[in-house]
Amino acid sequence: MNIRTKLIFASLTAFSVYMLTLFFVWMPMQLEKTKRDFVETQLMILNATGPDVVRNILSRDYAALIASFDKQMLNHQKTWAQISIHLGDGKRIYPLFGASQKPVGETLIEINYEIDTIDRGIATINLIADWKTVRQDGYDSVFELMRFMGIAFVLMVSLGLLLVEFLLRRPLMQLTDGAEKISQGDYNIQLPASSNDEIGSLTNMFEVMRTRLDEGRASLRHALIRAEESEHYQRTIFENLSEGLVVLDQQGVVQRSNRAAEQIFGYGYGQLLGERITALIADQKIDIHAIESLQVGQAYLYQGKKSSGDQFALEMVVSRIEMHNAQLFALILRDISLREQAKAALIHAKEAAEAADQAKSQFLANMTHEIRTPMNAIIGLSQLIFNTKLDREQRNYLEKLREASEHMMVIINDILDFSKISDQQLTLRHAYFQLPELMDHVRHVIEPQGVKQGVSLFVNCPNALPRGYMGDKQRLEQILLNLANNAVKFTPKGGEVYIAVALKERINALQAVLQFVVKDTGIGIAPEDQQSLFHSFQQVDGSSTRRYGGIGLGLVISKQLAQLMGGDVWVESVVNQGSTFSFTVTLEIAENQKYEVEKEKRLFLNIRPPMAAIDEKRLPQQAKTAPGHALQGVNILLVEDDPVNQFLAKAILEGAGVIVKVANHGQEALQLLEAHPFDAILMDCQMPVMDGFTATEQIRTQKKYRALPIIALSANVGKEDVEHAFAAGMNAHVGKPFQSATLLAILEKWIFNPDHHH
Amino acid sequence: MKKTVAILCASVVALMLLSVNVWVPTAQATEKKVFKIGVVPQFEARRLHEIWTPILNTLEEETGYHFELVGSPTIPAFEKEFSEGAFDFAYMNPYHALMAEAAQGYQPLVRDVKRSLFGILVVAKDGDIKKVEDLQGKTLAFPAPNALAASLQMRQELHDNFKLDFKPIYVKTHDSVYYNVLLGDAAAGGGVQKTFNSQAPQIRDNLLIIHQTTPVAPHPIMVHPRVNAVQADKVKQALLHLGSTDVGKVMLANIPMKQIGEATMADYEPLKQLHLERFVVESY
Repeated sequence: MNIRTKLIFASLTAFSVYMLTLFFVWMPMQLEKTKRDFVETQLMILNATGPDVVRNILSRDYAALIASFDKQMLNHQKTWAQISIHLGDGKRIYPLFGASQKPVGETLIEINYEIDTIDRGIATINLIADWKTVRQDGYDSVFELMRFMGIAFVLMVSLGLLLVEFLLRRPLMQLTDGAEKISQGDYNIQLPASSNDEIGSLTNMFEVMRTRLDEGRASLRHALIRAEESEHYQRTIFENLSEGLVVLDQQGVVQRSNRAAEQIFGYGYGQLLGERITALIADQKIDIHAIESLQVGQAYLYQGKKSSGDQFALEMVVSRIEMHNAQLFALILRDISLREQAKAALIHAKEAAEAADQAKSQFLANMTHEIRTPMNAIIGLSQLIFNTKLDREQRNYLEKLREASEHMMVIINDILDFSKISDQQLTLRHAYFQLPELMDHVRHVIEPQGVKQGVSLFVNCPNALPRGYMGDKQRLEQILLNLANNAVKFTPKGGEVYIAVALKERINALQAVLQFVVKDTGIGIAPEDQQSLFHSFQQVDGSSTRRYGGIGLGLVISKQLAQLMGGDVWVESVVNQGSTFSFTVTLEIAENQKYEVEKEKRLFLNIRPPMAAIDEKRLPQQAKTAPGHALQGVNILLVEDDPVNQFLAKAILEGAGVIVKVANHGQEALQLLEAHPFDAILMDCQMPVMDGFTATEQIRTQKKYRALPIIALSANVGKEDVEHAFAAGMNAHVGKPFQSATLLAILEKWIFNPDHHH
Repeated sequence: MKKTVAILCASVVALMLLSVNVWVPTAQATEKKVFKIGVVPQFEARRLHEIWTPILNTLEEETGYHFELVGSPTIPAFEKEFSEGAFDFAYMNPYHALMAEAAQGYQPLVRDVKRSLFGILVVAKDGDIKKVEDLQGKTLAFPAPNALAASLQMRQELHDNFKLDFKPIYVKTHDSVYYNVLLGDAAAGGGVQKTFNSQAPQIRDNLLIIHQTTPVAPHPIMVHPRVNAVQADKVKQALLHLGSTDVGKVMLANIPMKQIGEATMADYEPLKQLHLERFVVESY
């Protein structure tokens, strides 16, 4: 039902109600009033006749009365149906004749009017009036009104319809058309003319809506274009990924895949979609639950299955994706058949290389061991020869022999160090030491050579520096001694060598960088030679090899060690004026580790001197204070398989008054220990039948030998070897070739003063 | 505003012109002889004018005199006026003629010569009263005390001839007399034949005439002695002439005069002998 019909309907309803009210309520009321008025009028007329009636009756002038009422009847012939006048005594004087029957009719009204007369009582005028005409007039006026109202209604409704048509319906229809066009995407619409009413504001709002929609549509189109671009961009990336990418839904069905994935599995374009993961992977256990249990980001290896049925090595990385409340799985896939083959080849090559390397290291270790053993004999024997009666010439030759032997040991040790560093097998200790002690030791070692060559030595260790550190003291000494030794070596008589240490940088409360400086007033090094100093197997000048000896591995090793310790070595030099070698190391500061220092002392007291080229004379305090006096009459068990070394050790020990019994291997040592009491055992490590480690362990199982000093004698001087010895229960370790004084000092210490070390 | 003023001025001018027009004939009339005509108010004034105006117009044409009808509100007023000589001519009942002759010397000019005037006495036809003698001591209705035939002459005869003692009531008109008799308010009533005949049949049929008075000459037109004989005769001739035409007869019949003829004082001598003055009620 449109507005027009509604309006008509509403108006018609209102009009009908109005008309019905008019007809059924108002008209009866009006008629009632008309009737009342009518009666009132009749009474007024009668009342007006009253005085005449009274006078006529009183004067018996009935003729006048009758004539008067005849005339009245004539005047009111339309409304007066009958009038009768009775006197008080009941006589009817009007009409004088005729029946007294009252006329009957719907519209007849009986009106009685009483007149009081003096002598005749109350006269009554009985009027039967017919208000038909009046009623008809009333009807007519109402109908006239209704007719008028009807015409007015038609006019008003027509006007209303016109207004509705032009003010409401047409604009609304335009808006409706506009809305329909907009819904069909046509935003170019004709809107109604603007007005200040509700339609106007509706139009304005519609205009706003259209604008917004248009803008919204435009931005939607832009967004769509962007989304398409983005989609294209991402699809391009997706499709061109070198890795296969497959998206699985929760049922393990491929929802999406890229070209690479299709190629990996040998599928055509789009053919992977809808495939189950079980069809792509040959492994029995792989289903979606297995995929779910995989660790995200972790690469897993599977046997992939191509469409042809061929299997191949497949690497898969899974990602979980939450999308629209669904769990998806993105699988990144690689065919790694080739890589696996290459990897296998590589592993094979690596294993071969490692085997070769192992062989080399083993060879090197063996070689050094093999060389050390005879060298021990050579050095030991030549030392023994020193203790015999010799003439001047013999002693001179012997001195040369000993120097050559020791030089050779240096070379062997350097080669060993170099090879270890090269193989990255060198591990640094991390133990407590005190810096002043280290500096003091260096001074003690270098000083004799300085004295011998007429070079003044100055060592400076400032008290302000932290004393305790954690680090590899032995390797630090090795660098410093190497530099200091070279400085002394290349400084002519009358020159000077300065050794100093300083705190270069305090990194934090625990770490510090120490800088060591070794400065000499020597021959100096030409700038062009300075760079090659630290390279393997090179020395400044070919002639220096002849002049000073050595193959120049010391600086190379020093540099590598310094670098291992978080520092470096460098040189500043002017030819004929001198050189300054500096190096830095990063150390951990450790002030309060007294216990650790004791332990370290115990562990490394007997370690071979870093600089092998130190003879008895250069250690005057140690060598010349005639060690071993206290060892007179002490019983020592020497366990040694090599006859030469047996002889050498036995000569040294017996030279000090020690009573020596010799066992050729561990088994024999155990037997001798049962038979004789000993104050200490010198135990070689590598022996036939039973090695030193086993023997020591067995000895230590017996309670009575718990405190018996067992000192290792071994050509294996690596860190592992020493630790192995301690682990087996030995108290100390003396490397071969050993100095006689060192051996005796250690024996003396362990026999007479063992508690100091616990 | 100007228009309103203009209309006002025009109205004033029109009124003045009208006044002049009215005034002009009056001025001319003064040149004519004017006579005042009196008529006994036996009918209401309007009806009297209807009857007399055509007659007087004719008389004016005939005589060249101007007649002015002078109305009297009541019969006593009329009696007083003619007694004082207010009228030049006057139509009156026979007893008035006697009074006017006695007072001013009025003389009869013309009268209805065909009819004679007499009173009747009616009773209810179905009543107990059958003869005059039954009315002893009853209430009798009369139009007025001085109505000639119906009242004065009737009462004179009832008194003088029947020796009746009765109670008269005066009900103003002949019609009322008949009604009072019908209604029983009066045992009998005095009227005249003419009024009785003009009643509705229902009334006449229910009334019974039990007595008639001695007839007398009917109403004359009297002339005042100040009107000279020539003039009076001119008027008399004109009236008589009127009675000779059909149109005039109809006019005169309304007076009523069925046949107009000359009248003399001698016509009224018998009436004079009855001494009706005994029954006249002056103050009425």
